[in-house]
Amino acid sequence: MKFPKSLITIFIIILIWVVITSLKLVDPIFIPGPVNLVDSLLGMSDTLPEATLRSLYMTLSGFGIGTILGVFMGLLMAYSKTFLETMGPTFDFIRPVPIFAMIPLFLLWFGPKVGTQIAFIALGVSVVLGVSTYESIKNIPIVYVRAAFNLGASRTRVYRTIILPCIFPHLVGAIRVAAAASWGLDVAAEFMGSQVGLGYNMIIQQLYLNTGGVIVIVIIYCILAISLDLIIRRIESAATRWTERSAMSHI
Amino acid sequence: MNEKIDNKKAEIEIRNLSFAYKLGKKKLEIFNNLSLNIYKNEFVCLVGPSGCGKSTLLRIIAGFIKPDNGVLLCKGEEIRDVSYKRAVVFQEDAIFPWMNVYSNVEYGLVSRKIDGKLRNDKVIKHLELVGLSDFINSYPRELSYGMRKRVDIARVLANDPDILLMDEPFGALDAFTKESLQLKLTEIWEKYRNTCLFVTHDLEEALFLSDRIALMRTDPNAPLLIYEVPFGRPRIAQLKTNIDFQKMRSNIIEEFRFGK
Repeated sequence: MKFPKSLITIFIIILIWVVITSLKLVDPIFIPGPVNLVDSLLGMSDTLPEATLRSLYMTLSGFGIGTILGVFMGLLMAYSKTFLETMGPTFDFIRPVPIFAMIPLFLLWFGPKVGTQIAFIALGVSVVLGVSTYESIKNIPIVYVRAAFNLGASRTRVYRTIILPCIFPHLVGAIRVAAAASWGLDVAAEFMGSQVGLGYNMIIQQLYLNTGGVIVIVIIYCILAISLDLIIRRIESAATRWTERSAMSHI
Repeated sequence: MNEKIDNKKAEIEIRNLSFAYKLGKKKLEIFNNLSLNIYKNEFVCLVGPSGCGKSTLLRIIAGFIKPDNGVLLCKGEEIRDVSYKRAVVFQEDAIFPWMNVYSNVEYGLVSRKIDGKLRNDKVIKHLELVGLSDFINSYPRELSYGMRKRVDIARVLANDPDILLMDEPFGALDAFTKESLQLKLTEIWEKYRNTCLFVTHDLEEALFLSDRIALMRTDPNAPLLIYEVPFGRPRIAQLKTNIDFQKMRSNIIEEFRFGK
């Protein structure tokens, strides 16, 4: 088997890190060494499992709800002209509002509850997916839609059997972006007054100037985010085996 | 027009049809007062240079776009909407790349809620008809362009259409594949004789396939020129090199060139 090139890069970065920290070239407050990280990890071992589960639960729920909601909104905008005309301009107005600027309002309106945090993540995700869904539907080759109607398909059947599979490959890109963003949204959501979770623990570590602890949590977030991305890519390659794209590995 | 034919029942009746594309405030006239009858079990080719409006006419008959004026009847009833009875074979690749060959051919039948054995029999029969029985489980990207076209034809035929509307289906094919598909189509058509309107810019193709040619010109006000194609059936590949065939072809080209 060929040795993956990406591993070489990671190996070199880790090597530089070990050398810099063991020679004490930088103050450990900024870049702590490996021993420090292990210490921090062990120090947090009683809170980390629960915190990780909580963050995982919030992110996945928010991401899931947001994805379904966003895709549904996009489909509805394409399906119903009335819906598009009544709701479209409102969405266009809301969409550019930075989601993080909404944190104080969310706190004020809904309080620092789990539901609020999940809703916050879901809102951020659904905005991305609503737009992408609607745009991908508009870019579907018209000939497939015409052919389906011409063969006697009803409108709902066209949506189910033509539009959904047709937009899926385009949508996967947006879903991956949204999945990555949902971890960021989770961190922000936990900053608004959570009592458990990785983001909350990160603040605690920061307060005690324990940089090692912060880095440990960042690494946990990384592992979670990469795992979710891998799962989505697995599903993608299984569901889009029909495209020319999947037959092509490199241009 | 020919008396004998006019007594037959017209499957598609086009009278004084007009259509213009609207580009902002401007209007681009495509054709005015166009008339044409297509009779049952007849193969008509609509020929003309690109941009003359032949594909537009086909799309109007299919129900994808509405004409501005005039009468457009299918079996005596006004055409208002798309229907599987007027089946279209498109120039573009229209078979669904996310479904395998079987599901593609089955699509219309499922849409019309035809179930069970009847549906399966129709799919198998039509895949056999176009010679793709061995590719039932293949996906479109595994097939050549010519094979995809054959799947498209099978899909349309399996759906029991009254009229076939073919919009330059072989326009993007190389000469060899085109020839083999023309022969296949002729063979199938001579078996079932679906009423067919076939749009092409290739006069040789039109002469080879059709019973009648309607020549459309660039001038939107010019009426269609109709030519009866006298060659008998079954048609064989050698017909194309026949002297009468070549003579008729050059006559039509001459007439088109000098506008009559």
